[in-house]
Amino acid sequence: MLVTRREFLKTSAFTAGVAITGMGFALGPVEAHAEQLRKNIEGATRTTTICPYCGVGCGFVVHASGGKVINIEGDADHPINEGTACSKGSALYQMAGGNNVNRLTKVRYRAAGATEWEEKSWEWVIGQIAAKIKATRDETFTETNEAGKTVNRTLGIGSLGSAAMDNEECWLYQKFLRALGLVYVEHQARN
Amino acid sequence: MAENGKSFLIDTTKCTACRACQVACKQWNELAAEDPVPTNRGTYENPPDLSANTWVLVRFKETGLSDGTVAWNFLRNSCHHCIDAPCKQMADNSDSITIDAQTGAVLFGEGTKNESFEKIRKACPFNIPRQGSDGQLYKCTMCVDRVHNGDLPACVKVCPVGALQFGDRQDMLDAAADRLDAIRSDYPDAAVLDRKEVRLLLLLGDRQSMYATAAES
Amino acid sequence: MTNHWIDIGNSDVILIMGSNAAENHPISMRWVNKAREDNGAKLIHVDPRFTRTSAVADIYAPLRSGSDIAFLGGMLKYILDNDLIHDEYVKNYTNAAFLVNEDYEFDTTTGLFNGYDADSGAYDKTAWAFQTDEDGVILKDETLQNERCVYQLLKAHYSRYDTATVSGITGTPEAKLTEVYQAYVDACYQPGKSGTIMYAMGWTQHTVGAQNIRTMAMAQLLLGNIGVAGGGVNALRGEANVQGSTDHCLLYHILPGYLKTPEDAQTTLEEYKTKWTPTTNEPRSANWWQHTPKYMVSFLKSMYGEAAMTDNDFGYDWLPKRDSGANYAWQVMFDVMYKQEEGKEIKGFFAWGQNPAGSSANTNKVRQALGKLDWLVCVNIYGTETSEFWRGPGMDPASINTEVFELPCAASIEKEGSISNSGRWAQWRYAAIDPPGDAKPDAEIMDELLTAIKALYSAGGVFPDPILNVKWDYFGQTEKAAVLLAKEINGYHLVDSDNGTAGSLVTNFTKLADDGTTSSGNWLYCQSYNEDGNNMARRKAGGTDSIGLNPEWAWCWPINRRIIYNRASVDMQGNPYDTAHPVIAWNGEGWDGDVPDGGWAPMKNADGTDNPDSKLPFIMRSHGVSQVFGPMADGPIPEHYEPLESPLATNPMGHAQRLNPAVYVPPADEASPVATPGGSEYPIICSTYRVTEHWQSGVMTRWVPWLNELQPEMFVEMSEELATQKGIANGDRVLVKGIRQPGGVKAVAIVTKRFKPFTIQGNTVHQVGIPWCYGWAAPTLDNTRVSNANLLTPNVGDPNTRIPESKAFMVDIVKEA
Repeated sequence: MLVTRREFLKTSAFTAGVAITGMGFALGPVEAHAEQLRKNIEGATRTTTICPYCGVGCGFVVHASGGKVINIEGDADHPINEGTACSKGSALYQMAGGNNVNRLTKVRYRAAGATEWEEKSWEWVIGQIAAKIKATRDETFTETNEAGKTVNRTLGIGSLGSAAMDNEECWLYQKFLRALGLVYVEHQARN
Repeated sequence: MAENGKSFLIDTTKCTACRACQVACKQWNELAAEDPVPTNRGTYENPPDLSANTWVLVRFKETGLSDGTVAWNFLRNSCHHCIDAPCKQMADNSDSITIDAQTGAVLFGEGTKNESFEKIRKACPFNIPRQGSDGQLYKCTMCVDRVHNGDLPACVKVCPVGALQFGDRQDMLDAAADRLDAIRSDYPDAAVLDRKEVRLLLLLGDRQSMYATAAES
Repeated sequence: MTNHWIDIGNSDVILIMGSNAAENHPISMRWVNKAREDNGAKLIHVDPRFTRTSAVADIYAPLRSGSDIAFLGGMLKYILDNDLIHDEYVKNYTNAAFLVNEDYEFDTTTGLFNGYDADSGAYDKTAWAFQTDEDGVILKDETLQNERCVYQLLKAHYSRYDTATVSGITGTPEAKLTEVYQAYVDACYQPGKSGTIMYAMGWTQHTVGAQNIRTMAMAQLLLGNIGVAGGGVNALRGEANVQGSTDHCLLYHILPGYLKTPEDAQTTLEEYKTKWTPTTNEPRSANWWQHTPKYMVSFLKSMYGEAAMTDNDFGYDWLPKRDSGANYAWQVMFDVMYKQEEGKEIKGFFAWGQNPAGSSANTNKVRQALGKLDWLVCVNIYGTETSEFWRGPGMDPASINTEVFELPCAASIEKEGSISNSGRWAQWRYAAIDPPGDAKPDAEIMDELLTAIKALYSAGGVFPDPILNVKWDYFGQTEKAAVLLAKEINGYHLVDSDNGTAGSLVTNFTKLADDGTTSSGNWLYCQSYNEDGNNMARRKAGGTDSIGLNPEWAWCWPINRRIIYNRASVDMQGNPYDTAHPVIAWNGEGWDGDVPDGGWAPMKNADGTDNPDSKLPFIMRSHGVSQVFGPMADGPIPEHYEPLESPLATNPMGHAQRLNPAVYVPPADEASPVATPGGSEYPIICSTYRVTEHWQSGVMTRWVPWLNELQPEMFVEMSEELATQKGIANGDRVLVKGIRQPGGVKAVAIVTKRFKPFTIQGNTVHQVGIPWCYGWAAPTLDNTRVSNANLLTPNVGDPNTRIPESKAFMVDIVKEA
């Protein structure tokens, strides 16, 4: 069931006594209060998140229904922002998939010399990229450098990325790159 | 009216013009961005004016001071929710503009489609009402839907620096008076505008000419 | 940040310099306001331009971009001349008392420190060593009177930074300099008082970036401001997880947890350990990096799992090695890519959650370089100037043979995992919805790629061992991949021991071993995920302390210590200097408050005698104390040098060295010309910056209609005086021209009283500023919209960090015809 904000406000009776449960954490009193506004909405979920913009680390609560984000507000229990936000944090709603037509939703490929993108499948693109990585790595891999020392690396591939990843992804990413033997591993910290 | 209704207190001495209020209003009220996208007109202030889709607008003004320094002041432009709203008095139909019993919010209903936009707009001392493409008139609703459910207006909840407060009217009047006392030595020209007439209490740190008003813009 | 956002509220005075915090970290002002209201703290903003931060500051001081060391050198002189130091702190917790060897000198004629090699353009840092006794222990003079002690050398060095000299360099009126020095120093030098510095890229993006920060760090140490509540040196991180991604070291020179990447010279694990494990002769130095072998072996066990064994050096040989002393940083990578013939050296490239064709310095060069690749993989939530580079300004798609793959990924609210904020808090977030369309979380894309690559190498290939042996078992399990990865980062016990059973999570990094019996992907994050749960997901705000530590909200490295170096917040007997804002306090048996920097008893016993079992508070420094004198690539004491491009042809400090002598200027090529210092063609200083409403190169905001309407297009801010001189009116369309973009960048003129001309060396110098969040690919694709600020910036970098000098370069402005 898709719920709009107006609908859930119309239907939200301000009654007490309904347990607040969610993603395995208890909401604090301030957010629980606001949560009561939404509690009667079938299918409306709320999850906590941290803003993806600057490094302050503000908390937000995301309300979703039917696979669509219907509202994002500052997390009133978060000790840094205490429910507040800046203009960027206030606009997070428009970043959510389904709320922004500009989001990339398809794999795209631009062939050598081409003037337009082509849409492709994941299966196709993973096979293509894996093959290119292997071909480039095999061609450029250096086991021993000019000084005669073991280096086991390729300088034929470089990478930039990324402060936009989660920590777990950063760990996995450096593992991926270093397993391939990359030395040109860099990201936003150098900018 | 319950406890004399509600009021906003806008403390301009704390505002950093982050414009979270401007966006939070659009988020909660599901208001589209302006189309076409406005241009830069030699200022940070944008969109250029209030509209059916922009109910809160932060206006910027810089003033050169006699000692060679500069002041850059930010003023939130939105409905002042007048106690005796001239827009309502001017309306031809009694139900097109209503006063919310619980909060005192001035609310434009669908019936404003049948009102004269120019007449209502001219009646407003602050030049706030704007007409949508559907003919209806639009402006800040005080987020009465949120307030009735015990929540703060979206713009107030989001303000990170405490420049926006909202609550029972007497509490806001008291808070304004306390704040004026506290900043008097640093802001000798500080004043609260129209405190008896409106529910948007504007506390200005500098003299009024150092802030951009809708009339100037 | 040594401290954290909420802690700013504990300050007695706040200096924002090299940052526009109100615009770029708006929520920080919530805590600045708390300090102002609770402590009467004054807010000081020093910046070339009057910004939204200046608008709410108590004191605003202008300075010319690129002159921060001169400005702060004057502050050091004020502190030293007036002896406004925290005496006990300086003598015991810094190296101010250390005696420097007799060879050390700064030559005020040449502008060079000793140890400079003109051929390599580099210093030999050993030339600045300390004097030692026969046991190798550093000689000290705790009266600070010996002329070779650090304190006296600092005093001599900064004696040249009088306010008249400084003002001639910075353009700040002398009275304003004095006002700032007094307002800051006088409010926080006394024990129990604190001052904080909030800085950002305004300090780092210079050829003297690291030394800018070092100058202020020295001031903070002399004032006793490090380790205390409301103090610290606080880098305001600009990206949500630039802290975490740096902790996990997505950088060529370091491995997760700031372990060094191996060089070719270290052919075995043993040689690696010897090279990178520091030793000390100082009797009470904890020298925490002595544990490097434990962290490195535990890292290797996390990399290669059971394939990492004692008899194969735990897979050490499988790690790629860099050539000793060689540099592979961002700037070098694009330089190599640009200069190569098509597909000769760097053939493939990932731009994963990055937009270097918008964010890198000298983006013309970047775009040309990308065209020389065989293949490019871009992973993002929106299209970028990088993924679209082949149809950007001046590009002919038909002649560009780079194959481009654009992969759609999940946004933050569409996946689960942790990010680390600027205060080092690792906070867990959850997936609210699925990614749109075919988009996938980054980790899943990596998994599909590695799985496919592994399959290819199973059938043969060059040196397949690291690919076939890398531990990769997170997907398709009962537990979510993000959880399994978080646990692996924390680390496991691999055998039964007194510390835990095999397969259990390691409690914290003090339990890690160098014999392969523990794993930990990143020792700094060891404790983030324990047997009793995911500490990063904790949501209990508040606490029993009075300073807002919030110890049970999320988790913070290291070991949940919210203020690092906190043992410097107490006196010799463990009593807090600031009793109203204690960080830790010795209760006779242990420490109350924050997690201390090691649990050793205080430096002195209750009877006033020295405690030989105690440790000095700066445990990550091999000498145990902080370094007011420290060996950087460009000298042990900061000195003012001019930016690569500047309005001055000589150094106004009166010596022969105009530019930081250790700066690496890439060999000239047609894409990287440099404007002549003091030249007339490009006479105006320019700085790039961000705005509240956009973020970084604008990829994540230009596509967001509510944000784009707030700041819809490129602008340039300039003074009324410059506008008059150039015949430009507010709102006019103008071109900002530079030597790397002679055709100019298109912008709207914002003519403002908030920029004022500077008087530098008696001459009027103008400065303008431009935001770097615009480009031609969004919100509409238009390759005639030449509006990217980084078309103008030079790709020359700080010698310590290689961060480019985007804050000071030269331009000219003309009205668009």
